[in-house]
Amino acid sequence: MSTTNNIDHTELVEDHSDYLLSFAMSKLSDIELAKDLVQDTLVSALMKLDTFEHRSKLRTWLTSILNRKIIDHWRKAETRYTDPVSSFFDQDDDKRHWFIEKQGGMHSKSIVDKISDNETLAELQDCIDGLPEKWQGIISSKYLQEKESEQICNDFAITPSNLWVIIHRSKLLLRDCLKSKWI
Amino acid sequence: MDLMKGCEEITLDIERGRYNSLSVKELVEIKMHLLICKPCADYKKDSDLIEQLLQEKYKQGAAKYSFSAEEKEALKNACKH
Repeated sequence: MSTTNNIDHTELVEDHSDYLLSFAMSKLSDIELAKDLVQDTLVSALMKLDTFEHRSKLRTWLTSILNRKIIDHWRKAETRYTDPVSSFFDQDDDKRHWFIEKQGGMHSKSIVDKISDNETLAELQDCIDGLPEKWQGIISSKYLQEKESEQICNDFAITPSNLWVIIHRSKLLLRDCLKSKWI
Repeated sequence: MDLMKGCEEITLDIERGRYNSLSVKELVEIKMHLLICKPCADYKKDSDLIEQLLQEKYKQGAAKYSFSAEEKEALKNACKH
């Protein structure tokens, strides 16, 4: 018997559940879903506690289980509709230059002054909420947690070129969305 | 033969260039393209602005979430076997 088996469910919940929930919410926007995934994580962690080796901290191990569950969730969600990346690319040639038709930037003299304005940031949040769920997670990993690109690719099971495409597409969508609010 | 990169590729390179270093060739390609292409030049400006906005927005740090006391009890029950 290793010492890990002394960890009981009360301790696990008290010490780690809030941390795991915050972690899940940095990648998801649905609090109920996040709570469910945390519960799944704790239950499956307890079931395979004997496979936990002290090579990593308990919290790191729990986080990796949760992360896997989040990725599984996205995989399932993505098969329901088309892949968000390929639905923009790889289609008919007309779409290849779709953004050129969206002539004109959103710049006006006053916009730069708006930057730290709370209202602008709330509008930005609105626009971010309109992005696909997985993209929101990627944006928050990138800007909030300031993770390295390589780490983000691992966490979200995507390739580096996917990452740039997603950032690029997110910006185009945010731009359209902000423009519609500001004009 | 494709002598010039299209707008899609150029704007993608602009994003990649924020975090990775680009080759001199790529940088020149972007510069030249932006000189002759207004939509892409606009994209660059807007993208800079959104970049600033995103950084500003997330400067405040990660939101913390927690389970209520009842929810924790429910969790403990769910974990019991």
